[in-house]
Amino acid sequence: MSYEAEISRTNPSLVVFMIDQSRSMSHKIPGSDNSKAREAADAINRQIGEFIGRCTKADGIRDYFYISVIGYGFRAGTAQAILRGEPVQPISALANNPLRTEKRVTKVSDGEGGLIDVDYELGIWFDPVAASDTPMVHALKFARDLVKDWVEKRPDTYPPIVINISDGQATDGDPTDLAKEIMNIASTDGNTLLWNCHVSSSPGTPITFPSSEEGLPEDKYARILFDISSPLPEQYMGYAREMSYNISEGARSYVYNAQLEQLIQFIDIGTRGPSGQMQ
Amino acid sequence: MTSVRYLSVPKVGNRPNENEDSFAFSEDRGIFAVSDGASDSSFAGQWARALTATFSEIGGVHESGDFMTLVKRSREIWKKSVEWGALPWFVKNKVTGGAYATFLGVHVNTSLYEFTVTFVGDSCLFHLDESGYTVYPNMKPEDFKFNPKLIWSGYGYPSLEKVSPIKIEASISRRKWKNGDSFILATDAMSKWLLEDDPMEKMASLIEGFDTFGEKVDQLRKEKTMRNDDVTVMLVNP
Repeated sequence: MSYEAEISRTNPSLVVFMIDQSRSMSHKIPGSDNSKAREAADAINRQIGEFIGRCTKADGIRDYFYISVIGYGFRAGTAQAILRGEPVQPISALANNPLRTEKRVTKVSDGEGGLIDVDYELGIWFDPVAASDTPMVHALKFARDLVKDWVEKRPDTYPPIVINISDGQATDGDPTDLAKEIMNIASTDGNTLLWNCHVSSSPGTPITFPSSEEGLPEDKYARILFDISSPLPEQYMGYAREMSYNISEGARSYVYNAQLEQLIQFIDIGTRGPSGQMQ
Repeated sequence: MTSVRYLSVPKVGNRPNENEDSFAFSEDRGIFAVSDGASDSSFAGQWARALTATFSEIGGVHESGDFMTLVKRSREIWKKSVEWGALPWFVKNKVTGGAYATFLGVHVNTSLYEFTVTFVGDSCLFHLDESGYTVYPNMKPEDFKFNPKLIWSGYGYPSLEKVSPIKIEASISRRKWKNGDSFILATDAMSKWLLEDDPMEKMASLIEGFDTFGEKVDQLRKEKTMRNDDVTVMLVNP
């Protein structure tokens, strides 16, 4: 079985987020008053905070995860790591070096089945940008190099997961070959996972974890993204079903026309696999 | 004269001081306890230690009022054990929700030949006598996959002053024992392993090879027949 390696300080795992920073990301996402860029940045920042929470113990933070965030389209034809510091960072470095923290209120259990409000600090590691074109191929090259280097150095790692959030088609070529190259980089525990989240500006019906191209719109780009999304491993099918998604055999790690709810749930499901393997 | 032997080892890859299991005993007073701090909560090891130490301090639990005393006093100890103000922002985020732990405590009365067992969650007591064994709670190997019941520490910083109700109730049972009987207290990974396949043979091998059982745990983990988890086991012969 794949996707069962234990994640520990001696055998950590890599999570790569790729975020489209093209101009059209400034449009609102259905389900929110905010732009796609804002909601995608919030979702990734929150997820980094979740990883930090899971790795935090009484004596400090344990480096079970290394994180990279690759932005593309903040400048024409450009993709690069956008977190302050190294392109790939241990979770402890992120915990100790956020851009800033913001006071927020969240709800926690009151111990009697209800919820109460408590203060907490939301970590921010990068701000939203919506500026130029969609050089997804450049971003995939960057991700491929990170993943390849990671797996060569740690052949028994829980397979890296690359989560790509975009609202449009690549403006620098066909991403298919590079994406397949990434999905074929394998550790002894399985192939690298490539997840694609297509975020939408229109309130059309989202198509989540499709198992075939049938049902996707007659849109070449939607089919390319389907083709370059990893088959959903069995464990992840379980997580998706827990969130009431109707999953068929052959489902791909892909959502088309995601609105805010699907965006957040997609990232949550994608990161639950590695979180569940923490030692 | 009661004899006690014990073993408590962290999961593979962790240091001894990262073990979130705890145990405490006082053989003179017939008090024995283990607790398993839930590793996805904060300061869970301290919470487990507060529970076992308090159980010993108050002389065991014999009725529900004693259990409330156990939780209240343990909460005070837990809150004092942490320097809340000095914590970095991301630790503070996590401690708000408090800590959780299972608990198993036994008081063995050597005059009346009675024992009282108190438990919350999936740490188990095995009572071995001439006819076999009885386990408290009455678990089967497949039951260990569910989220166990846990005792809550109450809120951590910055909500320390908020009222933290005690909702959980412990199961408390009083039973008889005889000369020659033994008791094994174990946290979940060991309890599950004992209950799988041939429990009597496994308990016999644990009792015979107790002094070198740490090595056996390493081997079982490598074979993946025992889950890689903190392991605590205590053998009591009253």
